[in-house]
Amino acid sequence: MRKLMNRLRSRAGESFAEVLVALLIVALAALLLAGMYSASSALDKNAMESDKKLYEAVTKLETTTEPGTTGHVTISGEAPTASDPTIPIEIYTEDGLTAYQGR
Amino acid sequence: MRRAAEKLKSHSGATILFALLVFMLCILAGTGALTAAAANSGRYTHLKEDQQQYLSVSSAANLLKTELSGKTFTAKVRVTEEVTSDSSGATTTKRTAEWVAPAGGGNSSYDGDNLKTLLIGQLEQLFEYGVYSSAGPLDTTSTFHVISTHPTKLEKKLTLNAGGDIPAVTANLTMGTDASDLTASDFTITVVLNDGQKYATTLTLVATFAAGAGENGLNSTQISQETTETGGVKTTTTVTEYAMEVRWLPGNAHVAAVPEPPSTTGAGG
Repeated sequence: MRKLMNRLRSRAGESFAEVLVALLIVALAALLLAGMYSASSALDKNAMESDKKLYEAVTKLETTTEPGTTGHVTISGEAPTASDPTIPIEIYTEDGLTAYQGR
Repeated sequence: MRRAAEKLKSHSGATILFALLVFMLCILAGTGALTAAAANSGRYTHLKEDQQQYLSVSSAANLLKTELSGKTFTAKVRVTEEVTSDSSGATTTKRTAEWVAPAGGGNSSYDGDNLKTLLIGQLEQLFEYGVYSSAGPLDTTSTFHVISTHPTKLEKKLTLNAGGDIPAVTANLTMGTDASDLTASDFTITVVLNDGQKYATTLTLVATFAAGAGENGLNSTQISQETTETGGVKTTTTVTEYAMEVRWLPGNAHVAAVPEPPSTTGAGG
């Protein structure tokens, strides 16, 4: 028991243990930083790809000459009525975006 | 006191403190990078809604441009003027007017079949104003009520609804002027379209009168004139027809949906 108490009171090897724990903390910090950086890079890449796809879709919708889905636009005045004119249109959908042109 | 001084001078545990500081800095830097990336990614959803609004406005503008371009409005009114002079020399003038119905019936014709029911009223009002300017004030007892006061602008608000996920777009059409003479520019249609949120576009279709049109874009033809005299009262009846043909030039409207400028409402002077 006395030997154990002496051992506990002794400061021998204390700085070595301290350095080991410090190294462990720094290693953990580096690991976390790398993980976060990699996740943010992936998010950035996704956002850039989505942007590119979106603008490609808008360009395609504005320039398309292919036949689309048929539909109609109702044009009403101040108060909508059953006799409001409907104009036939071609509806185009691309990447969740919709545009139309008169038929 | 002595113990506290010793504690401050002690180097024991300094390495761990330094490591903890490095840990904290790394966490801060990582969190910053992640937050920026997440914000950039969240922007995409907003951008998509934005682009859908843009497409709705530009689609509606192109559709209206097609519907209005190259269309012709024709109308004719017959004005009968009775000038009565009695034996004392007093003269009274009475004018009446009536539409000369086109072949398809109604008061006038407009070959843009889709929008005819919505626009014909405004176009007829403009035409009536042209006749009013040319023929002078008409008798208020006339069977045909030519407008006696002309609004600064004749406006028509239309809503274009394609249904589905496509947002509805409103179009404000304006025509006319407060000028005393009617010109082709009074029939110019200016359409301001917007989605009620961010995008707007202005579409202007220039009007032209038929070749050879006279004053106020009207072709006036005297149909008949006859004079009768009964009991010293002399009556001269003149019948004149006023016709108009106005057409909107195609291909001169530039359509581009642009973000509306920020509102200046409430800005202090």
